[in-house]
Amino acid sequence: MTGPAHLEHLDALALELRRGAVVLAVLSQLGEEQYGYSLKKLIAASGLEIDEGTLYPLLRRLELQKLLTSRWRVEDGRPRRYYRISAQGEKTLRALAAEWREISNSIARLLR
Amino acid sequence: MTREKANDLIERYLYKVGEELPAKQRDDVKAELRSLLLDALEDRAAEAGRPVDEELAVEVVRDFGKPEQVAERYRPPGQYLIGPRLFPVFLDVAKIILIGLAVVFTVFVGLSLAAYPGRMPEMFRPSSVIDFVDTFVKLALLNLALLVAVFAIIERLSAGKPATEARTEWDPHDLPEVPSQEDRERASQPSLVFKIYAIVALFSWVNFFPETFGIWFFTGDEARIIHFSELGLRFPLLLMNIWWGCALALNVWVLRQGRWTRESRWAQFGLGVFGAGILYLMLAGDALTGVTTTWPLNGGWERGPFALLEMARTDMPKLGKILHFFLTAVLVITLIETVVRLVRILRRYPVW
Repeated sequence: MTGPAHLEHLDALALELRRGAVVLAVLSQLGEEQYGYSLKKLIAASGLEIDEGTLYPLLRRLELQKLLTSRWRVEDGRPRRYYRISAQGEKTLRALAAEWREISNSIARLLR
Repeated sequence: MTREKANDLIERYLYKVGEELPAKQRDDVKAELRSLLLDALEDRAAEAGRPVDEELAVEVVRDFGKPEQVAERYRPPGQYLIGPRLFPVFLDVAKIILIGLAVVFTVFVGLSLAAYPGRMPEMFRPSSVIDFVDTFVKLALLNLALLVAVFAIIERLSAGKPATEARTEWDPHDLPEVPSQEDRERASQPSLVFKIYAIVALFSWVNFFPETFGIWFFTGDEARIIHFSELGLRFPLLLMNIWWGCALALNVWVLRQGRWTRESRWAQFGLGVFGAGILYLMLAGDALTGVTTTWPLNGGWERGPFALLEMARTDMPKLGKILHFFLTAVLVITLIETVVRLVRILRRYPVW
């Protein structure tokens, strides 16, 4: 497979690879309150671009799962929904981070 | 003006997303999306070094994605009246019901034509045909609505089941035996769902439309109903409702398990005994005392195949006797079936 089809395939695989990491990235950055757009920029600054269509609904789902809490706040004259990690979310974050490190080490050994 | 156009585009986008969202979360999601879109728009304008305009708004909403897709991502999972797992079964049962209804109507017309050949021109008058089609369509829609309600309840009951199971501990020793071919067939989804539907339909008919509960006849140019009470028959409604409730619970339980088990087989046996008891009560009730069961076999049919229709108009007591005979036959069949069921259960799951 060469050309655009190959690139498209590669993109899909890379997206699949990143998908699992998105929850971890989001939870890790919500120790302090963030609203959707500021969170997106914060994560992007670390080199991980998350599609808006994925990130914003994900925040809602995590809140439904009680891993995040949220509140509306008006800032610069604009109402924004701010999210923060919950106590349960912190526990989940620690467990996911441990899992991530194990996977990462294993893959690093495999790729050696 | 350009900022207004940009805002207008964003509002149109939000409106479209909102249309696709459940009312409960619509305003909240729209408010959050509005702030996110405006933030993104202003950032993009700053990066481009020019004021906000419609062109930038187009870029922003295009990056967000198609409104339908955005709404789809916000919708809570499992928002189905009938989900993809049950939909094929729904189609199968709906087909059975519609075909069954069409067959019943065809037989009904055939019998009426044969019984009253002289009235054929009246029956094929355009107004009669329209009435007939109208009745068929109404009945078909009513049945489909009821079927959808039954499936929606089953969907609701089975929603979230895999997630619950995934969280709980399990012991491989508890894995059930592979069910026999017969058990698998008997627990087939279309058959169970059809039973569930039939129970709900009968329950609704008797409880909610008692005025239409009886034997229907088409005497040439008009439909007529003979209520069971006119035939001297009283139904123990409370017991029947309890029986329907139990039968409904049993079929839903087996449907969820996907197989028959010792417990559900015993429950089915118990229902058989219970049902036979209800039939016996109906037959032994004073309303039908003294009615013999020999009439239909003893010369009744000799009056011709449409004697029943004729009788519906003229001879109530004899119709009562036929009903009595029919219920006796149902009781005998139920008893035989229940005994056979008991023997099967004891063979398969010995208790001593």
